[in-house]
Order: sequence, then structure tokens, then C-alpha cells
Amino acid sequence: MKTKDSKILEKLGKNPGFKVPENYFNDFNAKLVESLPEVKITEEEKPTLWVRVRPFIYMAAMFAGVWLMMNIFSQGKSSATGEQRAANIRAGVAVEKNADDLMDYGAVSDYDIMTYEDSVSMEMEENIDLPQ
Amino acid sequence: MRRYFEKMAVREKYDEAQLIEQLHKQDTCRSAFGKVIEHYSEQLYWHIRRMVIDHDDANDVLQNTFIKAWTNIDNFRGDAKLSTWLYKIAINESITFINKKKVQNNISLDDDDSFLTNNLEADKYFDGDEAQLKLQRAIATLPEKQRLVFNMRYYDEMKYEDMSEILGTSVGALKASYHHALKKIETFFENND
Repeated sequence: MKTKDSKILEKLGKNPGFKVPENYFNDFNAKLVESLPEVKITEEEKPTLWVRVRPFIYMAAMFAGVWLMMNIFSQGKSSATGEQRAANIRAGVAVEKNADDLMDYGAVSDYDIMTYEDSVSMEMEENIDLPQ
Repeated sequence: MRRYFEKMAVREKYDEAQLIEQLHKQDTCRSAFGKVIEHYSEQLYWHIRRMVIDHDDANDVLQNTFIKAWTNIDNFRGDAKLSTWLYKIAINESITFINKKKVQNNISLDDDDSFLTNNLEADKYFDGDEAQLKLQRAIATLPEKQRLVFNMRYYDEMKYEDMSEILGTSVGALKASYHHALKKIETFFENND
């Protein structure tokens, strides 16, 4: 600082003129360490393996849960589509011509045909008047 | 090259992170605190000495500072630097000591600390000349906080940012405080020529 204010200080320098007894700091340090009272330190416990891996296990469980729910939801959705398709087929093939066309050109899988056949046979059974 | 190895030796001798870890273990805390004392006693002593002026008083305050730090070592978690924490304790202990001394001498707590330099000339641990004595008298007339700021900046050459952390005051306020302190010292010298 080269301001007017610091000119006096520049002349004086940074020695305040204080001194200490000879070997003061070495003696002070040694005496103080000896005179320190006992203290109780609360040591931080090291976390167990379970505590350390717990967050990762919880996260994995959460993702597994989400995956499972999505899987169940998508399965339910596909089974609903299957029923719908079977119903459509049943309605369509009620007319014989449509049934022939469907068999020849439609994207009908073996499973669809089986579903259709099952439903037809069940309807037939329901309509049969069994002797009392 | 030699200087580099000397620096490395100092760094190896004092590793603050390692020291803090040792301070928090029952079996190593005492020896670690010994290293803390060894590392900080001199700088804290001079800081305290410039506040309380008398050597014996500075010795007592320094001792109290380390004992307070030691008995509270469990509360020190290493969030702040060890030096910041120790300086804070040293400042509090110095101010408490000066206030007690004021009460003992029937001096109002609002008065400045110039009574501390009354016997400085006769002090066997003061070998300053007339100008150095005058400077100590000028500094003692400053309000406590300005005195702290002046000593930390002028003698310790501490950065304002570090002072800000220790004193909990903004850098701007500290710069202003130092400027006012310089002005007052200048005025003191003009009036006491």
C-alpha cells in the first residue's frame, strides 16, 4: 500500500517490538501437551456392508417392481386384445362367406382358430337340451 | 530442487486432513493435538500477544485457547479449516480476557483498550523503540474489531477472505475497517508528535 496513511507504518516496519523468553515455544508446547485433561472422543462407527449396499439393493428392488408391473400390465393388455380378436372372428364367421374369406386371406393364427372352435363348441353345448 | 524437497518435508509433517482424522480417534487424538499445538502455537501466540500486549497474559490466553480447543475437539468436524477454528477461539479468549481485566481495573467495557499499554515501557519482554511504543499505543486506542482487523492484516498479512471467514464479516466491511484504522493511527501520530 503506497497511500499517505501507510507512510508512517512503512517507516516503522512490521516488528511490534515484542519478544518472548528463550526457548519459550518449545517449552510451552511440551508442558501443554502433558497437562491436557482426558477427553472422550465419539468415534464414528464404520458402516457395515449391509448399510453400504442397502441403497443399491433398494434401488434394484424398485426397478424390479416397476419392470414387473409393466410386464403384468402388458400381459393383461395382450390377453384383452386376444379376446377382442376372438369375438371379432366369431362375429365375422357367423356369415359363412366371411368365414371362408377369412380362412383364405385373413391373418388368422392357429391360436385364433382354436379359440374360435372352442367358443363355437361351448355355444353348441349350451344350446343342447340335455334330457332331464 | 532443494527448496521443493524442503516444502515437501513440511507438507508431510503437517497434513491437515490426516490430522483431523487422527483427532477423531481415541487412541491417536492426543498425539495429533500435540502436532496441532506445535504447528499453531507460535502464530496464535503473536496474534494474542498483539491483542493483550503483556507476555504473561498472552501465555495464559494461549493456554486457555488450546485447552478450550482440546475439550471441544469432539465438536470439531472439519467443516472449517483448523486454523479458522483456532483463530476464532483465540479471538474470543482474548476479548474475554481483556473484558475481565477491564472489570478488575474498574474500566468501562465501552472504553478502548489503551490501558493495556500503560506499563509497556517497563515490560521486560518489550524491546521496541519510541516509535514502536507509539504505534502500539495508537493501535490500542482503536475499537476492538478495528484493532483485530489491523493486526491480522498488517502484522499477519492475512487475506481479507480468510479474515472474513474468521470474523464473520464481509470483505468490503473488513477493507473499510482497515482503512478507518489506518486513518486513526495517522491522526494519533499527528496529534502526539
